[in-house]
Amino acid sequence: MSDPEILALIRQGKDHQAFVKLYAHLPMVERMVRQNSGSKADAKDMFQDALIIFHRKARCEDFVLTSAIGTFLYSVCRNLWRDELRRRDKALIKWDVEDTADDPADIGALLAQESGFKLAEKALTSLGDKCLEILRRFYITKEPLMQIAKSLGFAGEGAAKTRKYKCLEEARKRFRRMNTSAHATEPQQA
Amino acid sequence: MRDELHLLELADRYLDGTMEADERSAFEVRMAGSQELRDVVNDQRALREGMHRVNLRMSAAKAYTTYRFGNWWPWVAGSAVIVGLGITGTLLLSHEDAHTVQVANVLDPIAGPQDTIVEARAPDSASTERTTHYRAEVDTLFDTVYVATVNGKRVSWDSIPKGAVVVEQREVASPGAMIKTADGGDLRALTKEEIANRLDSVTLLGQPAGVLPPSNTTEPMFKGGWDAMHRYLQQNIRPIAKSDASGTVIVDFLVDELGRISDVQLKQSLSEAHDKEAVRVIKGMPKWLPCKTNGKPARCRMTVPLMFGERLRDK
Repeated sequence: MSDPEILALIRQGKDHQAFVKLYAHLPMVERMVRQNSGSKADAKDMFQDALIIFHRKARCEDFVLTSAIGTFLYSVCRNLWRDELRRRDKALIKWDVEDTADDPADIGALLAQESGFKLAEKALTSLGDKCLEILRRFYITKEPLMQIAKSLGFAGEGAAKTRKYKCLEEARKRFRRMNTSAHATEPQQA
Repeated sequence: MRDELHLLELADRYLDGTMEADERSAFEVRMAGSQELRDVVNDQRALREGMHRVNLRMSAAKAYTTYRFGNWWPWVAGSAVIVGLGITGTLLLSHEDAHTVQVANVLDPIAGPQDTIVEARAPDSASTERTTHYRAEVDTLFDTVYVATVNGKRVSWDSIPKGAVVVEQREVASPGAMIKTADGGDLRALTKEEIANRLDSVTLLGQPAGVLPPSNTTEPMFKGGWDAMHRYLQQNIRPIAKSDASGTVIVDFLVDELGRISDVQLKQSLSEAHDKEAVRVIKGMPKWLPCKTNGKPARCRMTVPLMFGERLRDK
């Protein structure tokens, strides 16, 4: 399946099919990570991050494929893994990946923005399944409040709204807390 | 709260791009002048994107399973999550056992129903005459204790001893305002203080939900673990002939103290042939390791999703 076809799948909302195809690029990333003090599981997690980032880009209407998707995914992973290694014990780091490869021009900004979103993701998942379900229905599948109330068994629209608000407020509180502590450790990484 | 709710809604509309041009520019002017509003909008943007990530991560993980194991075999997807949920609240405790459930465990923030009333007594008060009544209203959405009382007197949650035993736990609200105050008001609409003041006049309309499993209950397990179960299913599920259906069949069953499987129930159906095959293969599983409560084998229900992939139809 060609890159434009995969891109089309994502735009049609067929994420599962697109992702299954894109995993074909995982072995390359696995090799890079394992040669640089990482494990297979590290590679898989990071690759999923790269898939998510690609998905965000692909959803933008004005996004045009400028390089092969595989190159993009690899390059995102390489940058993510280097940052991860920096976060770990520096003394143990072995890093022999060519840095001259073709990174997308905006990769630094892209990853910086994404790490904020990743914190938000963490804050949200820490809330538990019930909140996630309400928020998912509201923000992802965009069901009307009335329907959310009905399928989750709330008394009415008002109750669903209150729940959603409480969940968001709590997520925001946790997100801010994580953000503060992330920034506090930043100077040491630089 | 009303104000903040309104702000959030505005932020959502702003981020959705559904504001009219003049409302939008007015909002942007307001944002330019208020750090607080900018923070609200930026946080909201991050959280919305975070929500997308949660969702995408799930599909990426699912796609990984398909990539890794192929989809011509039925595969067990999301078993950790779904099985975890399946276990919660389905441990079948007899009434005698119920006396050993610990309060601390019942307060697992996610495991319980959304709003829960826990009644407990102190560990040393074995005789009923000396029973101290603890009562707590818990919002398990994120572990907020609204009200805790000892013998009817309001106390702080921390003053309820850790070892206190639950004698009764009721789910008072299948999510939604099923608790009504005596005068018919919606309990959710009240502030914590108001709830505290009105506690005595609260009428419970919810159905008793039985006793929830404490977290010192271990899960029942397929002998050899999840990988072994995955292999077993792969080897024993027969391809469904002449079927173009793909999707999930969810099966729920009882694992008794001896690890025997019984009472197999279909929770989600795909097609008659798929359902039959799923039930057949689940019924045919070898004995499981039963779940254990306080080290003793117990009866638990288990939920297992079976995913049937597209390529079955090719065969």
